[in-house]
Amino acid sequence: MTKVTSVSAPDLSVEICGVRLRNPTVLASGILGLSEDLLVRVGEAGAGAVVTKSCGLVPRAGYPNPVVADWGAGLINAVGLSNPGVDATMEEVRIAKRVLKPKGIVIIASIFAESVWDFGLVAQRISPAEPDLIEVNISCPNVEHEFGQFFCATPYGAAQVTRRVKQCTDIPIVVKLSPNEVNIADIARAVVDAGADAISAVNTLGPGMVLDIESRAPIISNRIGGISGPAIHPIAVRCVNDIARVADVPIIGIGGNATARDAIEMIIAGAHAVGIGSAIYSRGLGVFGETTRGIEAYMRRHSFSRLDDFRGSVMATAPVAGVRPPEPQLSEP
Amino acid sequence: MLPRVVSVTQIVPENPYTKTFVLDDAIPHATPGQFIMLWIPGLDEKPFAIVAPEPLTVTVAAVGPFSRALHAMDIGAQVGWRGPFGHGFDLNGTGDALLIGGGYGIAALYFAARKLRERSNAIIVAIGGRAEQDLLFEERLNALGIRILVATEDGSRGARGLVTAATQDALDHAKRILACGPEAMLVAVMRLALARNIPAQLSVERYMKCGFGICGQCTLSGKLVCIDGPVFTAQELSQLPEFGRVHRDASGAVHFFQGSGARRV
Repeated sequence: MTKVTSVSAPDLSVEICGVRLRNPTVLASGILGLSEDLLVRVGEAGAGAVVTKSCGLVPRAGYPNPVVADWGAGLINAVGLSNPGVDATMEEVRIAKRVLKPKGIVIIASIFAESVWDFGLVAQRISPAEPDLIEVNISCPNVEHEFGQFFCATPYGAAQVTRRVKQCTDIPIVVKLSPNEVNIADIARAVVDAGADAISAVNTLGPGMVLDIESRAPIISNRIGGISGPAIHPIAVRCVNDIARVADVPIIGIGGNATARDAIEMIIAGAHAVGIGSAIYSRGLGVFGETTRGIEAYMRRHSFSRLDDFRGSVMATAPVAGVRPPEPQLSEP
Repeated sequence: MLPRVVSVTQIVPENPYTKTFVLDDAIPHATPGQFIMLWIPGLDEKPFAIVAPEPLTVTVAAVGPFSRALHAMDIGAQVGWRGPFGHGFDLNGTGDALLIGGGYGIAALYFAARKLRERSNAIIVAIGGRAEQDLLFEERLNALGIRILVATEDGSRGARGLVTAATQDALDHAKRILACGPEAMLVAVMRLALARNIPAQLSVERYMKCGFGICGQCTLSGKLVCIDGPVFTAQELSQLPEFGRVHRDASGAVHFFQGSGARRV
C-alpha cells in the first residue's frame, strides 16, 4: 500500500485586482441583486462575491412581463435594466458591504449608462459606497433600440467607456463583454489597453426570440431577449479562452455555469472566478456551495493546492495531418 | 416552462369591479395559496392566486391596465398561464380554522376553504371590505356550508369596522388562522395571532416580475415572496422588518406603506 502524504486542504480563494474572494463563485449581475438583504442572503448561501443588478443614472421600471422565460435549454430574458437609480443602489451597496465585509464576501457594483459621459457619472456616484469592484456593463443585448449600438460592439467604443470610467473612480473595474462579437479577443485587448483591471465574460447571447405558437406572440414583452443557461456554456468557455490568450488580466467567466464541472471548465479555459446566474433557477441558492465543494473535490483528486495550478491549462491540440487543406504557397513574382 | 395559451370558458361578475375567469385548463397538483402568472399575449403578465385548480380559475379586480384589459375580454378569448408558483398554505392539522380575507384577498382563501371543508375541518371565514359592494364570495362560501362573519368599514353590511375586530369571538376557538388581504390587515392578524399564540399563515403581496425566484423584484427583507412565499407564518413575518412597512415598485425603488411610520434606518 502506498502511503498517501497528508496534504493540506486545497486553497479555493482567488485574488482579483487586489481583492480576495474566499471561493471563485460569483453571483452574476441581474440575478437577485436587487436589495441589500438579497445580496447578503446569496453571500451567506456560499458565493465568494455578489454583484448588484446594473444601475444607471436614473430609475428605470424596465419592460412589462414576461421578462424571463424558461424555453427548455436555458432562459431568455429582457428585464430592461430595471433599477432604482445609482443613488438608491449606492445606499444598498453601502448597507450590504457593512454586513458582507466582516464575512469576507466581496461586493461588486454593476453599472450601465446611455453614453460614455454618463458611464463616468454613474461610476463616480456609486464609488462612495466603496464596492470592492465596479463591473461596467457595456453588453446588455436588450436595449439597443433605446441606447443605440452597444458599446462593446467595437474595440473603440469599449475602450472609450473603459477610459472614461477609469478617470472617474479609483475602484478597480471589471468590464463585461458580450459573446456576440466576432472577435471577442480584439475587444478584450482594447479594454485592457484602455485600463480595464479585469474582464467578465460573457453577458447573455443574442438576443434571441421565443414565440407562442397559439397566439403567435413573442413570449418576452420586449419581443427579443438575451439567452442564458446551459445552452450558452460552450460559447462562454470559448470566449473566456479567447480572452485569456490575449489579455493578462483576471477574468470572471460567466455563461451557463450550473455545476462544478462547468466551473472547472471555465477555470481551465482561463477564468479566475466563475459567475453563476440562471442556474439559481434550476438548482437554487445551494448551487454556490455545491460548485465550491465540487471544485475542491476535483483539486484533491488532481493534487492541486491552488486554483492557479490548473487555471488556463487547456491542452494544446495536435494538428491532424490531412484534415486541413494545404496552406496556399506564395510564390515570388 | 413557457406559458400555455388557452381559452376563457366562463366569466362571472363577483362585484362591481371584480370578475372570476374560468380557463379551459386544469392544474390538479396546485395547492391552496399558490399562484399562477396570467399572460395577456402582447400586453403583460401578472400573478393571481389560484381560486380553483380544476378547471383553472382566477378572480381579478380591475385595478390597472392589465386587469382592465382582462375585464374587457369575452368568453373564448385567449390567455396564457404558467405555474403553479410559490409556497401555499399548509392545511395539515385538525383544529378549528379561522380564515380572514380582506377585499379581494378572500379569493386566495376560497381554495383553502374548500379543501378544509373536504377534510371536514371546522372552519369560519371572515370577509371584510370597505362597503357592501366590496365583499366577495359570500354566496360561494355559503354554498359550502361554512359559517361566515361579515364586516364592512362603513357598516353597510355585517358588523361595522375592520374584519379583524369582527373576529374577536371566533379567535377564542381558533386553533389556526389563514389570512389574505391588504398588508395593514395582515399586520393586525399577525399581532393577534402572536399575542394569542395561534399558529397563523398569511399570504403576502409584492410587485412581481419573474415569478420563479431569480429576479429578486419581490424581495421582502431578503425573502422572495414568489418562492419562499406568498404564504408565510406569523412568526416568519414578525422577523422581517420590511413587512408592513416597505414595498418596492417596478424599478426596485423602496416605498413605505402609508401610516406605517417607517423610515429607512
